[in-house]
Amino acid sequence: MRLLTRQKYIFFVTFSLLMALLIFLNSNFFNLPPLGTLLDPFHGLLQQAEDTHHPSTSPHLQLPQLQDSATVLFDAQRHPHILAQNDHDAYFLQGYLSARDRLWQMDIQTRAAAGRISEILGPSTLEFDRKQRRKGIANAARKSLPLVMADSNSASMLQAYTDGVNAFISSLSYKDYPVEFKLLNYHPENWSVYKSLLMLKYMADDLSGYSNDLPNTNARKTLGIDRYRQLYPDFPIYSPVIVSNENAHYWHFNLKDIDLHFPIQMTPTDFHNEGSDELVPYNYQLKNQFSPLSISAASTPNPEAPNGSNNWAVGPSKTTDSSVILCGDPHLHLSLPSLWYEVQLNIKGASFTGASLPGLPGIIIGFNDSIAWSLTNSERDVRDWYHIEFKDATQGEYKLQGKWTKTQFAFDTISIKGKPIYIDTILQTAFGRVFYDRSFREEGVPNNMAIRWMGEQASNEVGALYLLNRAQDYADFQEALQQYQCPAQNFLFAARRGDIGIQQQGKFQLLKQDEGEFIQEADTSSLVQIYIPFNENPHLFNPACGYVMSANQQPTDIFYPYFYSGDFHNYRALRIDEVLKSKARFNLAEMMQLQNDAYNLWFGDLKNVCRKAFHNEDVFKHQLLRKGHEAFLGKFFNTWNQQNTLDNPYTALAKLWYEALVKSVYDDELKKDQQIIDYPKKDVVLRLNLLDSNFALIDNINTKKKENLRELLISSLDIALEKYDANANAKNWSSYRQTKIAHIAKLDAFGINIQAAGELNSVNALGADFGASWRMIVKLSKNTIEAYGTYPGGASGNPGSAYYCNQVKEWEQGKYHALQHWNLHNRKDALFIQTFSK
Amino acid sequence: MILGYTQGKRVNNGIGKGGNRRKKQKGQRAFWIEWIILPILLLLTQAGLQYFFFWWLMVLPYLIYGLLTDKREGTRSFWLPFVCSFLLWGAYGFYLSYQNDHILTNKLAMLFLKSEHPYLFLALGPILAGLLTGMAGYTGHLFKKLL
Repeated sequence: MRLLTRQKYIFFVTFSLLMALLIFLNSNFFNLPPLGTLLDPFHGLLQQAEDTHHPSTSPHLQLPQLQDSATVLFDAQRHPHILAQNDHDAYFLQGYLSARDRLWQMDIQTRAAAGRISEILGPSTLEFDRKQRRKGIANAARKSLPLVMADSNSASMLQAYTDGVNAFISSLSYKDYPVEFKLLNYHPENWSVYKSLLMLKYMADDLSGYSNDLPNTNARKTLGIDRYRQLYPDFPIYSPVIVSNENAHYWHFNLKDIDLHFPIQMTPTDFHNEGSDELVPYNYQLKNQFSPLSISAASTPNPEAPNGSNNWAVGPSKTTDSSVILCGDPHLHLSLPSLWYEVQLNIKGASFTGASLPGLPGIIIGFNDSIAWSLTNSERDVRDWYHIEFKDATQGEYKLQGKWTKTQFAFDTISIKGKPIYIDTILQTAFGRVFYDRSFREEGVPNNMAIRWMGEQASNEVGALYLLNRAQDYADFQEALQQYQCPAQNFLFAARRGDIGIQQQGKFQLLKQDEGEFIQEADTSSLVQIYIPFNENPHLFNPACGYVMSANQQPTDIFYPYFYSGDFHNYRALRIDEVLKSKARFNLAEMMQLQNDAYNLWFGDLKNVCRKAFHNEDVFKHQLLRKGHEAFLGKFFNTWNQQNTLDNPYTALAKLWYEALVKSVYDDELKKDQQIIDYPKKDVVLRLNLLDSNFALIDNINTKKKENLRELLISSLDIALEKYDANANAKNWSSYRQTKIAHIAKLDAFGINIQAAGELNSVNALGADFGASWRMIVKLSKNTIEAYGTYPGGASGNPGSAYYCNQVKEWEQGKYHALQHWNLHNRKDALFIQTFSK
Repeated sequence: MILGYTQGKRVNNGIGKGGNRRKKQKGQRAFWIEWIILPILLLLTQAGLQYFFFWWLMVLPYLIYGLLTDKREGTRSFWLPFVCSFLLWGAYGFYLSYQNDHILTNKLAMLFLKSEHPYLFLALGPILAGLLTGMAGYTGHLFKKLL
């Protein structure tokens, strides 16, 4: 009997243990994914170990939603070339194939856009979600939906794409889910037109959703307006602008004399932080990192925000064989799966090829049978901040033009995994929602700040894309851009018949001098919004110099009658302009070389500053050869060719020296109250401020002694050398910079380390997590179109695919693959072919 | 009980006396069934159940196996299921990873184990499956003993 009891006991223990294990391994306790499910080879992670040697899809697929049969050819990089009989089938298959390769990416990016990450990750991402919602990304997509659906082009294009994505999603069972769904333990959601618009507005936020209003306001308050303009000039005279007066002499401005009947209160207010008395230290980083999960904690102030897109086109008078060559390399935060998805759509013989965004139909940057186009960000400030004065702590009324006006309250519900729903109270004013308030704060940012962003207006950029993809000449191109609003881009154009052009396109408010550059008082600002007519946006067609180019620099010189401000960068523009002027004619290889150019232009400017400060050329043979480093510094100054090659030992020192120099010049004035103030741009520092012998900021206001530039150059070089010696990686630029392309969910094992040349101010602008997201060169001549491209990633978003990051090597080395322009009769190099029927 | 156990041992060792000859022959047939046919049947049932339904249903055939095996074979009721499902998960997992050139398992080994050895990750599943089905077999065996 006792034996039996013991046996019973053992049985129950074993049985319960087994059951407990099974339940544990099949559910997600402690935020762990269900391990049993993941490890099960029949349905788990290993199902995404894609066969490397054979196509894992069947050669023929039947999709009843198709209107006709279609063929998809996959090239050596496994990019799809969709040969369809009509628009519907082409966009349907683009949706289907984008989802097949990139479903999780599409899901997570649109979730991030809408502020719905906490639904899958739990409370840790709540603040991120609140921020995304307060930006108004989802609201913008919702508002645009009716407009987009009213235009038959965009409506049918988006609907077909959506149906394609959903056709793929409905074919999935758990076993087929991308690994990230399994790891994060959630299910794909059906796609919708709204989600495509979310993707678009997400890009708008990435490219135009930042503003320097607060740092500018602080800087102006600290320096006074005259000195402020010295450090942050409206029009740096040395900068090659996109459209200069001499090029655009034919231009007429209809609104330039308009009287804007509203006062602009330009006196920066002393902000008081309602609800808190403490003085907050600074850290202001509204500029969104593209990776949605990088909800960055406090980061150290960066002397340089990453920035880097270029595009240029050389006309027949500038090429060796009288063709037209268009080059484009948009730079963004790099991530895996890649932001771009290379695709060709061939609709009854009419073909469009290039980079598409997973989640959006059509080609964003590419070429068709007649023209090619590429984009860079305009960098113009279209997000403005208004300080709201509330009557009392209830925040029920705020001051608007001298009167107390009722605040609207809205409630935003956020679902959080494993927690009750969170309700965010949003205060609405006539200027927009209050972004920073008592319940949502960021260090160093004043409270009660309302946000007004151009991207939140309803717009139909997809309709513009539809027409742009089909444009045959410059007139079509301009026509297509008419409905393009945000994010404002420099649209570069080149046509087979020999035309080149550029248009800065976006919707811009007509501003008074200095309006929008600083935080404004809501009470005294006008609600009137007048816009610059689209045909008065900077544009240029076939200029005499034979080339057009943009690199996020100042778009116009001082002749342009309308005020604007922005975050412009000039070094790349200076370099590209210099190279394009240096020779009469260029060929394709030289253009590829320029796209990968790693020349350090600013180091030459830094040497100029030294020459001027020491009044001679011998400075690099005497004064600056610091003790113990003579040999190395001798080479640094006198023999380095200023190329930021990947293994050079000099770039790190140049960078450290510049950083130390900037700190020693500006920190005493700009950072004294721990306010958020940006350093002046590198070109302003090296080409204006430090060359100005009367520049007052050189003196350190914290010492009795009067410092001069020589002393600062020497002391900062000493600091830099100390740091340089302390860093084991400094002798190799690439190891020092430590560029990594991270996985979108920041899963380390799914990211990749990069070894490549370039620095943030070289044409090949490369930072720690930032670089050329797509490089394309298209040569158009009467008879042929030759196109090359590359991007740091691959066709597939599956970390278990051989095509996940197969192009990274090529991209690192500055090489390209041919962008095929296939049709049914010319497909000999196809990796495999898939046919689709209804 | 004790007698039967001794006889069984003798039969298996092939040192039984004449009187046990009939049992010995039976035992030899049982060997093929026990060690070849039955494991294959178990494997197939496991594969079918977890392919068509849920992975955790794989414990079912082994529970039944535990119930059907000889009361004296406690060790076997654990090890045979362990080996069976270890082989099934291991072989299938290896095949999937092999045809993928271990691209995914290299990354998963890094992700889960901070290791550069894909086989470490590949071993996780089979060990887990082995343990679970082994436990299932043993639980079945214990239950039978209770009856």
